[in-house]
Amino acid sequence: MNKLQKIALFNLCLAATCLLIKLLSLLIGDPPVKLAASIIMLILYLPLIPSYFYRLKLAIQGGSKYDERDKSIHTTAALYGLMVAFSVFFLATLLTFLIVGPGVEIKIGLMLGIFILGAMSFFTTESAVVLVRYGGICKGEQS
Amino acid sequence: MNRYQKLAWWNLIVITFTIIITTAAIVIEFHIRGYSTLGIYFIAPLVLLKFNRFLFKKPQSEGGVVSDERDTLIIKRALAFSFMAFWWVFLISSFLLWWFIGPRNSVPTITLPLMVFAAGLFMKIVCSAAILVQYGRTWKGEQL
Repeated sequence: MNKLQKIALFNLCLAATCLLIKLLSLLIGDPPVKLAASIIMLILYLPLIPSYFYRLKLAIQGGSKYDERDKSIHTTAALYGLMVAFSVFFLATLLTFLIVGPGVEIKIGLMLGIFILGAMSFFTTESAVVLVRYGGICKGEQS
Repeated sequence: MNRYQKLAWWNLIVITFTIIITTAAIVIEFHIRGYSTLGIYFIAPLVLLKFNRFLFKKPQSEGGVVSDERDTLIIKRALAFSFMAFWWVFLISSFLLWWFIGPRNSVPTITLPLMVFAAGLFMKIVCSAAILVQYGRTWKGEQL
């Protein structure tokens, strides 16, 4: 397992947990539960920032740590992530419209909620695709 | 011009044409009746975009290929760029709405399907423009 795989696994664990918490908070819908879920998600999301910059540092260094193959894998994974995130946006928007119905009003915060859901789906899918394309968790170059 | 450049131009022309006739219809109807309901029918030309997969498939030269590795890379980059652009625009517009209207206020639910529709059009425009920019904007590009 190389460093990039370890980063992807770390991101996947955090993003998938955040996604689950977000979905649970949407189902429960109680304001204190939502607040607690938001705080937990924020705490879980913070480590993703240094993780992103660490990967960026590896990408800038290049060489054996981030070669053409790694670049190709990460580009494809990012594209998959963006496509899934857009599908989530599409479904979340239309399902909300169908459930709430026309002629009603929705809170502005829902837009940001949809964005957060999309971001989580992006990170989860991207990390999962990176791991899958490297051939699973246990394979890959040793670093 | 290869197939993807032609398709990008095709997308831009159809979308621009639709935007122009829809806007004109809404403005004229609004001027006459004071409200507009007919605008929705003028987005029908967008159906033409569904025929993209059947268009420009024939190579221009005998034995030529329709697309190669470089074309695939250009399409991938254009798609990634359009998705990224969409998310940035969505995030910024959500924040602006939140900022100007206020966090406790609401918007009508019809905003949601309109948002999806606008997102689809926006991404198609950005993706087509990104394809043309990557190929060099003009009539350059390999003849296939």
